[in-house]
Amino acid sequence: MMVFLLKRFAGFLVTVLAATLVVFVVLEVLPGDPARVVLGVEAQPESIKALRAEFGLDRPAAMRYLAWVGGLVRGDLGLSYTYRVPVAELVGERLAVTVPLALISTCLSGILALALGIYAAAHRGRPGDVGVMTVTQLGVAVPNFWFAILLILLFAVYLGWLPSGGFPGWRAGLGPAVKSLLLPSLSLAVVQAAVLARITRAAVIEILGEDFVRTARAKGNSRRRALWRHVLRNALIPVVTIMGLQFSALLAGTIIVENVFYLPGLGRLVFQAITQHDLIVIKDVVLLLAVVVIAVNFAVDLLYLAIDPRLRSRA
Amino acid sequence: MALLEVADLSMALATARGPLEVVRRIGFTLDRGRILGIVGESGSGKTMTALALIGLLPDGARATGSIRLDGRELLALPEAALCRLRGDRIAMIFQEPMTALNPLQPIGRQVAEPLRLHRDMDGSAAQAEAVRLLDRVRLPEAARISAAFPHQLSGGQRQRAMIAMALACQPDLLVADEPTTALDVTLQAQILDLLVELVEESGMALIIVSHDLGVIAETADDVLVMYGGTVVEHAPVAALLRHRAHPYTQGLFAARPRLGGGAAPLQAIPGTVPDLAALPSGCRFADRCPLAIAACNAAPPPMHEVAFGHGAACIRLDAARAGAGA
Amino acid sequence: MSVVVGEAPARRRIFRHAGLIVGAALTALVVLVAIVSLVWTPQSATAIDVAHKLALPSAAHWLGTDHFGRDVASMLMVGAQNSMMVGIVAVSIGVGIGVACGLAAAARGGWVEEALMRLADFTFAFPAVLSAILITALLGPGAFNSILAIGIFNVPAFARLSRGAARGIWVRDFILAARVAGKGRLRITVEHVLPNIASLLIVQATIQFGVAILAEAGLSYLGLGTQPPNPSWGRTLNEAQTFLFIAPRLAIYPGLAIVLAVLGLNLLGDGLRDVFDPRLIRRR
Repeated sequence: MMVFLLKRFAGFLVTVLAATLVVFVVLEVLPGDPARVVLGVEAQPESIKALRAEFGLDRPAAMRYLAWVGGLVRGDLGLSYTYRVPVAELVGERLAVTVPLALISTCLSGILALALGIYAAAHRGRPGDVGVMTVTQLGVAVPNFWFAILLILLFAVYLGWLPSGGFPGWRAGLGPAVKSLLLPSLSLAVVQAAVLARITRAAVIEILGEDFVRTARAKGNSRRRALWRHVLRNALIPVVTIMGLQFSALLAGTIIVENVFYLPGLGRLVFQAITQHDLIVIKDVVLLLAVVVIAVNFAVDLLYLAIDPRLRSRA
Repeated sequence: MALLEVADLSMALATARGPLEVVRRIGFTLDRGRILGIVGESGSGKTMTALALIGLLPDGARATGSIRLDGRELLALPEAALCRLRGDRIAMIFQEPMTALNPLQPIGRQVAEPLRLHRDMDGSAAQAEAVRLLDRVRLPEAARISAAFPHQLSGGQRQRAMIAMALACQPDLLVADEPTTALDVTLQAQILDLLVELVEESGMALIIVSHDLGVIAETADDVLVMYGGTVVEHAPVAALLRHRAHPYTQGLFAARPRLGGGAAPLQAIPGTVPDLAALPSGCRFADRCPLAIAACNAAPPPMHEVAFGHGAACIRLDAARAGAGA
Repeated sequence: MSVVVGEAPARRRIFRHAGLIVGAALTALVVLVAIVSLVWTPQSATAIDVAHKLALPSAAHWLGTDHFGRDVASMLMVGAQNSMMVGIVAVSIGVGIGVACGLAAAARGGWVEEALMRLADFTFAFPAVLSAILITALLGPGAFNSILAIGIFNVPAFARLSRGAARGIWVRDFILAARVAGKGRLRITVEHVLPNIASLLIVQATIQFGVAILAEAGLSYLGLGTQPPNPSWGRTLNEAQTFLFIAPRLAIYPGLAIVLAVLGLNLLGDGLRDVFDPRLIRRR
């Protein structure tokens, strides 16, 4: 088992390393002259030269790559070109918004999806199921930024209960901070939940047809008991897989949603950096996001081991 | 009073083309300590009958008639009452031990579940009893098996575990639907012996559903032969082995390959099982029967007493007896 | 004594075909609007008329005007053109390259297959929208680049799908028969594997079409997609957000357009899936 875990962890590290290579190559090597990219097409040759010196671009690419990775490991992400502050600081500030946002959204969407999916599967073919399928079919077609705007329309414009954007900071107090994260989380969660709910429903229906569920009923379990005690854990396997894959979509969603609500999060940072051609920030944040996704999928793999004893035996 | 009394039981499945009658007016009785074998081909309705006894018919199925357990009518019971009976008074084991056990739960826990459901036992008491049950079904190292997962057991071990699970609450009636079909021959004999032994020990009644004549002949006290959703013949097994009254049963026995029988071609029953959507109104075997006459298609044949406890549903029994030569 | 257990399944079938019909109708509607807009729109989609800005719906302007006085209905119609084009081209890139790679991987097997699939898996680690943003930002914003970016992200999806499905076909007996008869891998792929997975690909392509429309709308919302003055649903939505307090209706129309188009495509895809694979009907 230990060997298996170590092998998996090694695989994880290799993937992360590969990610750093890809990010570096795509962002620094491919565009040709990074300094020119940062400064734009109309840049003066002197500025370009100055920037090249600042970035150490006369060193060969391999050296720069190693320097970058070395810095990452030490926690030194370099200096943002636009803001002239350590990127690590910038990222740290922004994480304080994006992490809670992602966590709240994931929890909300998970709970909503499981509840709806299980309900629909248990009431298959009946009005409840049809209702859930209709609603989720709509939910899957809704762009999360439009849903966000609709939420703003309802809760900020008409009802005035919640802010239409911005983030007061955690120092302003738990209440106001959470209030400003509520609509963004909802807009991310609801659309995600629609996708997840349909998959949960399919997984549960599939398992309900398995022989061991019939055995469970033959032992005297009611339909409901059979569902909770026998079906759910088995259905978790495909559901957890999809949740892991969806995480990448969630992160992508945060970029857009942070822009809709003007939240000072990581997504907004990378978007601004892209428009400002701040290569250093872009490199670091893109890599960070990729690593998070890889890590989440690694965690999902480990979760499988916890859920499914068949995998434990093989390990 | 007999333990189980089934009368006039019919079952229809709901399909896109309307209700499809899969079982038509069957009846039988079963006493405690007796073993009934229900034999028939696929599509004969034998599995449906088994499922009806335990109340686990598929969605959309409709059952009419009467099933009485110790005088209590089962078909009228609400689901909650049926749940209390299942696993406690009536237990069932199924064909595929590979897929019939929850892959994520240890064996012991699954075996102990009926005890927790019906006897209100707490965890440790139920676990201890589960180990005892696994031991009773002749699983060596019962404690180790109790902690193991289904994928770590062999097919025969899984089937024994299923039996242990079914016996947990000492049911009055055990229904076994093709219990040995998925196992190889040596294991078959062991499982069947185990079942017979358990019946003798506990006095429970056993119904074995199978398409395999050999299994039924070895194990059952009485036999019900089903075809096209009806009972065509019923008899004590010894009587049936001596003499088959119904043309279908005769055909069934004749179709068995015989060891050392030389190179004679196998005697098949020509034709195929009736399409349930286009069932004849008379005898369901008529279109394949060598002895059929016009009257056979007119109405379903009544059950005739051939001998004491031995009945066959056919109007051509005299011709059948002459042809068979006993 | 009789007992009815469960529901009769006959009713379900009506619902099933309803999805396909509604989906096909919606999709056809959007396509029709897009085609019609090539030759005619109620007003000009780009003409600025500040004197009549933020007008309410009327006979002249069916959905009113935006903050520049542009006719919303016309903008949405031309936006449909945009979305359709994005969908078609992006999905074509994905299908063309992705399916070819996936089929090649399944046919070759060995390290080629392993390498291709690892590559596909790896691309999934990079949030697709993020990478699309990156590509458009580096190459410059615009319709062409955003289509390219979205297309690139369809490639691994189709590669995986076609490889998985193709593998299932390759192990079948009739393929073995073809190989024994001496047919080469390419011929087998084209003559036997491809037709058998075609229905799966069609269904997925329909769904990915909807995904592409959503992605393009997102990119346009962020300003990285179709550039002004060409209308796009996403950008129209962005512009409407500024006026949310004054004219909320402007934010509803483009969103509705997106939802209708994507919903139609999803329903169509699901409906086609049921039609192509009758086994699945029982499962639903």
